[in-house]
Amino acid sequence: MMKALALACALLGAAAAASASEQSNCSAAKGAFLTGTVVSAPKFAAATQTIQGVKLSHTHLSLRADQDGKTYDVAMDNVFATDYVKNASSIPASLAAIRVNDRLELCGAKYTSGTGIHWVHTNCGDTPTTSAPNGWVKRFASSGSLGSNLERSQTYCYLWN
Amino acid sequence: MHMSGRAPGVRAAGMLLLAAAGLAAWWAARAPAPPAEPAAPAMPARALPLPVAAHVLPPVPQRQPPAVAAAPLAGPAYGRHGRAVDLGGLTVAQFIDRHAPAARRGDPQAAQALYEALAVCATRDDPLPDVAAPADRDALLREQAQVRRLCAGVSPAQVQERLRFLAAAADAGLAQAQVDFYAEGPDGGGVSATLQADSADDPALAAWRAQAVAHLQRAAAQCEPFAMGLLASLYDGSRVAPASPALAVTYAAAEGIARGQPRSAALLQGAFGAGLTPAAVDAARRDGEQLARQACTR
Repeated sequence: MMKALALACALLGAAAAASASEQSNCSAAKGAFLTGTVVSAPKFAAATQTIQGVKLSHTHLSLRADQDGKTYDVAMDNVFATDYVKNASSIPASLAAIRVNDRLELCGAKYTSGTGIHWVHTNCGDTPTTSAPNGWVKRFASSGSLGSNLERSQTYCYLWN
Repeated sequence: MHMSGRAPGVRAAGMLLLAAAGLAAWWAARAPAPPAEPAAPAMPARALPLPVAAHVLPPVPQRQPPAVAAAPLAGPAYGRHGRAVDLGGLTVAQFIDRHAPAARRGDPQAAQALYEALAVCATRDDPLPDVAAPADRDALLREQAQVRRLCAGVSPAQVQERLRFLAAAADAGLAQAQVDFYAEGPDGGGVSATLQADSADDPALAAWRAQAVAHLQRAAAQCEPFAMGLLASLYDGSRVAPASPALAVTYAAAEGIARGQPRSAALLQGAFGAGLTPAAVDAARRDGEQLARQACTR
């Protein structure tokens, strides 16, 4: 019993340090930091913009944030998903795998109107700003460990150069 | 932490999770309030995607799709490879009639052309995704109807045969086909699901992965920047190639040069070089420069 409690305290300390580090990293990336629980499954949003023949579709989901209890619309750019296939009219498998009740960590730019967050992706190495942070979407495993950025692909960064 | 799904009876784990929840609540309470809406941003040096207006639209209840027969053309037809395909005003069946003889004789260009046309039909029965807005579903239905019209009279066997034409073109050294080989995935269903599949013990899948990487490397050796960029991503962490930060840096550096936009060591370090020393990043970057020199100076 005591050993378990000691272990729990040690792990909690590590988790707290990790969360603080993540928030600090997001601040350095000029992003707004959110953690929360997915309350609606990913949905495909067709492109409203096409660059060099590549349609910039999105994946949306809703997340209830730990920080303020509000439900945020999360807009993820499909082109930055590591498994995006050019112009596919589908949600990349890595994003489609996100389920209701999953836990996510987001770093991005909050909408200037409404309750939402976007730009939760790499900014392709640009100097980050609050409107164009070097963002991410990370998914917590059931073990509590934090995955890598699902929106880190630089394959299509050439579109903005 | 995610509290659901824990095994009952595991007291230590339960205590840990309860304590974690307590800490999370404490941490959330002490965390600073989220920033107010950002001030009007300065224009970034280059504009990344930001159709915020589309993002902020609330989800709208689903409704019945329109009759697609009356809908106008939805625009260009896209193949499984993701590019718009110009059929020259022909249907795919007519296109096959025109190009199949040369393709079957072994002409790699004809094989690639035939593959591209058939790749359009490969998407005709793809399930539609859940959409955020009914208008998106309407648009996807129009696109699908257009593809089905273009593909009238083309059999599923013909559609599947495209992979044989693609392999022939890739084996013949056509860089575009080598990239498309990757995009199609092992069974022509698209590479996205394959990238997530955890089936390391599947020999057929392992063989496809090895061949896909080899094709991309051959395309990169022909100065195909998109292949270089894909390789950088694959070596950055995927189930297609073994993770190798150094190779990711190498191919990203090569891609930058191939596109005439060399990437700095700092950028490469930040994007791909976590865990590498600056010296290792620099060495990998030099490898990329050499690769690009050899591939692109011809």
